[in-house]
Amino acid sequence: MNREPQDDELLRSYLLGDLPEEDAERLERRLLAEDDLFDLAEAVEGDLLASLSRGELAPAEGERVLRKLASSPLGRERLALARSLNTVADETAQHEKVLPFARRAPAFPPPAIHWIALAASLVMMTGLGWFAWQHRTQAPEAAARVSAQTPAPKPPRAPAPSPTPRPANPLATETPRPGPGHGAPRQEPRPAVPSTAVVMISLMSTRGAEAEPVEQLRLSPGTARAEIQIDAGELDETKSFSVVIRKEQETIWQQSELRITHLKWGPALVADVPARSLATGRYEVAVTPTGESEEMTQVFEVVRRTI
Amino acid sequence: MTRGDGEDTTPPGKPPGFTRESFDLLLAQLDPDRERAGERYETIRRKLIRLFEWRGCAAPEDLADETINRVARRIAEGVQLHSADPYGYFCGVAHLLFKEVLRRAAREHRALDSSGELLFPTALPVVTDDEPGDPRLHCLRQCLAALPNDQRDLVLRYHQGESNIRHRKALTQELGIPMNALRIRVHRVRRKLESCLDDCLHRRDAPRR
Repeated sequence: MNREPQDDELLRSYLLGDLPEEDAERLERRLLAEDDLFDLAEAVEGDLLASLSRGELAPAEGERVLRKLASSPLGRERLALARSLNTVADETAQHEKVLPFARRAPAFPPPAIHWIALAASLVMMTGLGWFAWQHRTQAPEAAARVSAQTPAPKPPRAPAPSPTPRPANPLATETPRPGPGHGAPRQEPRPAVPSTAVVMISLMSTRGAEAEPVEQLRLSPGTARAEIQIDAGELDETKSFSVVIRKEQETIWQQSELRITHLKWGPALVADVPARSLATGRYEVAVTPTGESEEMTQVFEVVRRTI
Repeated sequence: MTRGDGEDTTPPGKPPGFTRESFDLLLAQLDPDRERAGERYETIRRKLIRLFEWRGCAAPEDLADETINRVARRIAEGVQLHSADPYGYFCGVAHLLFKEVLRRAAREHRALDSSGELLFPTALPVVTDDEPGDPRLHCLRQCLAALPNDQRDLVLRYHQGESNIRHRKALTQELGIPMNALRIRVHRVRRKLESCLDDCLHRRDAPRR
C-alpha cells in the first residue's frame, strides 16, 4: 500500500489532463495492472473534488476539475458526496471535537503535567481546609438560615439551561469506554486507582522502531491488569495471531489464536496481561499471524509508580 | 447509443456483441479458475470505465464494453494474452479506441461547426451548498451512522475543513501510515458511503415512482 510519494503528483497531473500523451498511456497501463495505484487515483480524485467544493482551488484549476472530473453524471454524484461529507464533517467538528485516536490521547498524562496537577490539588485542598476552619462557627447558623428561606419543592418552571448544549451528533451513538477524552458525564465516581492500565502500541518496521519514542505503560500499586492494545490497521482481519511479550529475550506472557477486535480508535489486538508479571523495564511485543513465521515487533516500557 | 441530449455517440464500427464462446475464451485467458477469471473481468471493466471517464469520454461504459469485445474477438482469432500482464493488451486496445473516438469527434466538430461535445459537455455543473433538508445529507448521516466507529471518525476527521492539511498529517502520525496509504484508506470508506448513499437515495425515490 505504500506508494511512491510522487505517484500522487503524477496522478493529479493525469486527472487534470496535464500529462503528455505518452506518459498518460504508460500510467494507464499501470492503473490497469496495479490495484493500489488505481485506488490512489480515485482517492486523489476524491480529494480534488473535496477541495473544489470548499473553494480551495484557484479559479482556473477549479474549472478544470469541474470539466475533467465532475461533468459526467457519475462525476456530479461524486462531487455531491464530497460536498455533503465536508458539510457533515464541519458540523461534527463544530458540535463536538471528533474523538481522537487513542495515540493522540495517551492513557496517562505526561509526568510533568501529572505533578503540576497534583501540586495544584494540594494547594486547593489546603486553602479550602483553612477556609472551612475559619468559618466553622458560622456553619450551623448559615444552614438554619438557608432552610428557613428555602420553600417546599415546586415543579420547575423551565428546565435549567445546560451550559454547553450538545446537539445531535452521529458520533454520540457509541458507548464511551472509561478513559480520558470522553465528554459524556460519568454517573459513578472514578476509582482513585484504575484496576486496568492501558497502553496503545503500533507495530512499526524494525528500521523505524529506533527512531520512534517508546510508549510507556504506567502501573500504579493497585493496578491488577495491563491492557496492551496493538494497532491492527495493517493486519489481515480474517487471520488470528500469536502475541508474545518478552523482556530481555525471556517470554513473560503469550497468547495464541488472538483475534482482531474493533476498539473506538480502530482495529486492534488486545493483550490482557496480569500487571504483577510486569516489572519496570523495557519489553518487546511480537505479533505473528497463525501459521506464519515472520513476526512484527515493537518495544514499550513499563514504569511502576510508587504512589 | 444516445446521450440524454439526443446526440449519437456510438463508437465507430460497432462489433457484434459477445458470444458465449468468445466470453468463455476470454475468461480462460484471464485465469484458469473461472471464478477468479470472473473477478478479474469485473475489475478490468470497472477500471476501463474509469479510464475512459478520466479521458473525458461521454459514454465510458459503452467504450469499456467495446474494448472488451474487441479483445475477445482477437482472442477468438487466436491471439494469446501475455499471462504475466494481460492488462497490457486491454490497455492497447482501449488507447486505439480512444483515438478513434477523438478522430470522430474532430470530424463531427468540423462537419457541424459545433463545439465537439462528443467528448466534453459544455455545461459545467454548478457547485452549490447543501440545503438543510437535502435528502442526500439525511442519507449520508444514516450511512455514516452505519459505519464502524473507526471508519466514521477517520472519514470525518479527514474531511474537516479548517486546518485540513494539519488534520491529515496528524492522522498519518496517529495511524503510523504514510499520506498516500491514508488517502487510500479514506477512499475505501468513501466508496462504501457512495454505495450506501446510492441505495438510500433510491429507496427514498422508490415510493414516488
